[in-house]
Amino acid sequence: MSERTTADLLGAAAAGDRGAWDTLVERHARLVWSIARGYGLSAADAADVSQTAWLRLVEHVGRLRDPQGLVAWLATTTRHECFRVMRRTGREVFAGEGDLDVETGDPTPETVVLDSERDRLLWAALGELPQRCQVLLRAMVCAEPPSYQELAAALGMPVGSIGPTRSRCLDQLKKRLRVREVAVGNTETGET
Amino acid sequence: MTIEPTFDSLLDELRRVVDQADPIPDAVIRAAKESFVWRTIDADLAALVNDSAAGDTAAAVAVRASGAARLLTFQAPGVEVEVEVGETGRGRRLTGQLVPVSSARVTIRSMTGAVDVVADEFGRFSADAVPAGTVRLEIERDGSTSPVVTSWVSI
Repeated sequence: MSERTTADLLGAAAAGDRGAWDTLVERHARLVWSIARGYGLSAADAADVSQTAWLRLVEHVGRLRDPQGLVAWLATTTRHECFRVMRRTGREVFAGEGDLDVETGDPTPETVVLDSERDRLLWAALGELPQRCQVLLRAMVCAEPPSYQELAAALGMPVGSIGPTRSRCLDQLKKRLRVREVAVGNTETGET
Repeated sequence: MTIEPTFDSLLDELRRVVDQADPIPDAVIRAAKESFVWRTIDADLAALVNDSAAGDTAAAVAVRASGAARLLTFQAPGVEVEVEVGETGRGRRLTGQLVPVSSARVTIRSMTGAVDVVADEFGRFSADAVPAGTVRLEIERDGSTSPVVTSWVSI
């Protein structure tokens, strides 16, 4: 069976096709979740943001002018909702490029079960990165990886700065991973 | 697009670790799918055109700093709904105004239930102890055959 296009799915969902809607959710729910979690929202707040984003899409399902822009639309809606939650909870909403050099100093607090030491170090390193990097990297590793255009929407940044930002974030992730590896006395690269 | 091979393998690792450490909960996917039941085709959508708690305007900052009530404005062709959202203990207090003024039946709909109130002849309505969460207003104005529903908003 060939993959249905986004335009096809949106059209079918607008006409009441529940299955088409479910497919849209399955394709893009992880991106919405990743953006919200990348911005540092708690699981409960991320669930709330996700709910609002999908309800908004239900409202607009027959009104989106550009079906190809669906993912960017979802990413933008999610980002706005995240900012609203962050303001409500008194957290800084970043702006500009400078914050790339600012550490969050707030590693992901959840206790998670990971198989190896290396995995735990990588997860911890990710949690130390600036918020913008966490959003970008988490969005990039979604099952349906977004385009630069869509990443730009998730971050509220110009498309042209996504490439350089991506490189810097990956650099920082590598650097922090190495620092942590040295700290635990494991200097292997782990690239087996 | 050329990426250093080491970056590629790092991304693959990251993908696996994120999937394991913070998978999207099934309940979140279920809720997203369930959203579809709120599709409305027979009502005018009143879009959220202003939210005093959004943006970085001086007004928004002042609202947050002072703890003043949040003001939402929804617009549909020919009708505007202004809603003030106050926090009362664990719930929310909604105070609304329909423009043009009209008496109406107003339903405050959430994922978990609904609160019905009446707008008086001056288009004013209010509801106490609305649970925090995602809500919309469904408005049937007296003398009008076209219902209005607002955009969903998290309060």
